[in-house]
Amino acid sequence: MNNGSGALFFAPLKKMPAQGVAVTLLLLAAVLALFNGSMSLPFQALLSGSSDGQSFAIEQAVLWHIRLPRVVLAILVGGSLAYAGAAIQGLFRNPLAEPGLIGVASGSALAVGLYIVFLDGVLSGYWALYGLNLFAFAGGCIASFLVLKVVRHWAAGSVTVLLLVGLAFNAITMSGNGLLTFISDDQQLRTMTFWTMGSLGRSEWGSVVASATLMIPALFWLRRYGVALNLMQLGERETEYSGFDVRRIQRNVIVASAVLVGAAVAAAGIIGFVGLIVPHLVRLVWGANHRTLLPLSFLLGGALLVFADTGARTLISPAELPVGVVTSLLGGPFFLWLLISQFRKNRL
Amino acid sequence: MRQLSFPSLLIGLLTMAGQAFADCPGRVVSIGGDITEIVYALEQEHCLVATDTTSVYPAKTDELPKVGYLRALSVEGIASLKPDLVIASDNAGPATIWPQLQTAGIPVVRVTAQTSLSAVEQKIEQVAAAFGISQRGEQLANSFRKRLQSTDAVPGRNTMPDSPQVLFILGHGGGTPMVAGEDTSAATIIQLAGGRNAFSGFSGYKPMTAEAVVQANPDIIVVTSQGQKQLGGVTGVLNLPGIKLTEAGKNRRVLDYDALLLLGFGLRTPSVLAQIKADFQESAEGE
Repeated sequence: MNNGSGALFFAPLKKMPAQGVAVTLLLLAAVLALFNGSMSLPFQALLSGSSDGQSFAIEQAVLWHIRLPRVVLAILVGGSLAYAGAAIQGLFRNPLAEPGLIGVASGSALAVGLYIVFLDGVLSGYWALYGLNLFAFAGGCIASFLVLKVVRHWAAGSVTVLLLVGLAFNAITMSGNGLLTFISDDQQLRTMTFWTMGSLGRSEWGSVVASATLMIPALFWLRRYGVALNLMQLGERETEYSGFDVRRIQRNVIVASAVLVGAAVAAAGIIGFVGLIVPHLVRLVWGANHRTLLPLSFLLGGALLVFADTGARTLISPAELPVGVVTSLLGGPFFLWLLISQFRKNRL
Repeated sequence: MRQLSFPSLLIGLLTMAGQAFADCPGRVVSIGGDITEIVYALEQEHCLVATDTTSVYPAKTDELPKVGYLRALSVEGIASLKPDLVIASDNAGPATIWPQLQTAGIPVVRVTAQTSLSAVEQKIEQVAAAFGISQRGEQLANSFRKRLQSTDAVPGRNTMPDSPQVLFILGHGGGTPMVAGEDTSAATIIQLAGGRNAFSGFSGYKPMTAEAVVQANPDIIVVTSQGQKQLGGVTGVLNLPGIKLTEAGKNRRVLDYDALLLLGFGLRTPSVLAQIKADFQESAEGE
């Protein structure tokens, strides 16, 4: 019997406790990220506190105020994107669904475009620091709220309609962004382009706390819908007959996902791939039970983004790559390999 | 001390000789092409440990590490160079890195990002002050002013009724080339050199339409050298829709200048201005 290398690799993995594997991966990624960066840090001296009379003020600041918040934010952002992705895929019963379908990312992009073209440089103080993040979050939430409103008031409310309304909204916001591109100057254009490639370079404790206060409640709220999402796989009517309020599930899953993705986009710009692929990866290895799929997606999404961001920070230091480019570059081939090895195993 | 070899001592002495006029404020990172150019003109380049990717002039800046693109800087990347001073353009960002650098105890000096002739002097003043050599900065600003005066370019005074109509075409990358309207660096430099910008009534750069170009009927076309190369040389510029029907197209009057030199508003602006003026006059005499 010819087992693909993937099957050989994943067979033992499946027998291990899934959560343990995911937590280990996340911790490994976090440690790797903390110990690597463009600045080499004297960890022994920093952690033991014995400085031998030397002052490590800059090194201390880099570790505690630059690198650590960045790793924490990467876990939150990557985790939230994958978590929302898993929930949305479950809700739509469509493996190609991703958080972008409910309008969050494109709504954020439009709001950020408006901010960059009309308000960047006009505002000062805290508004200048966090204005862009606020706009991104508000834009994402407003767009998905509108999508939901249109579907519930003027359309039947089925997921297919939801998908189409989402597509229409994406088209509208994209043309809005096209207009902004037209009237923007060179620098505004470049700022917008960089934003759409995603970066965790803007992390500091302030944005970590802001993101966490939005994300953590949404994560726990969404977790309560694990069983309902499992039932949804059988069909909307079947879920209804089992005593669940489908419209309520739909609304709450979308609102929670919009908060998660909106906060992630606000903190780090648009990072593709994580929300779409990580849930698939978890399903391929550990199955499609949403009660475990959701938390596992969070852990692995976080691990992937931390790992990718470490690459983004170190590959061309002292400059850095847009992290969105690295996530797809790392994750794409890995996912392809996983897919092929699964096909091979099933055929034999 | 005994480990110090003779060559390294010699290099040390030479470096000290180079610093004889002014001591460095420490290790300096310069962010913004205009600022780096001024640092070199002030002969403070021995203080630099890194620049950004927009710092391309003088060519020697290539030898220094680059901390990334002006507007997408990495705070740890900058901190890893252990600078004692970061001089950055007001355009640099993202905004969050400034409080972060402050937390790391790295002093930052921001320099105006305006593109105008008066801003150049302001930039010189600010950079020189950051290096603690204000007097030297004054000298540089004076020489800049003198060179500018020698070109006889005073804003608003040069445009005559018989001034040539000048069309600036920005053709970087693929897609429709753009033409310069009001409030652009290109329009300003054209006016300073004694020409009239072919388009008024809109500001910024807009995609070029053949009919509007024919109607504007420019006498001279100005492009950047980089743009002309991408369009396929002078022939490529002349083959753009509508151009052949204009005065400039009929007489093949296409002038090209280095993009940074033409639109950058820096220390070299006076010399390029003199060049453009001479070229405009030559075109007029060719009629």
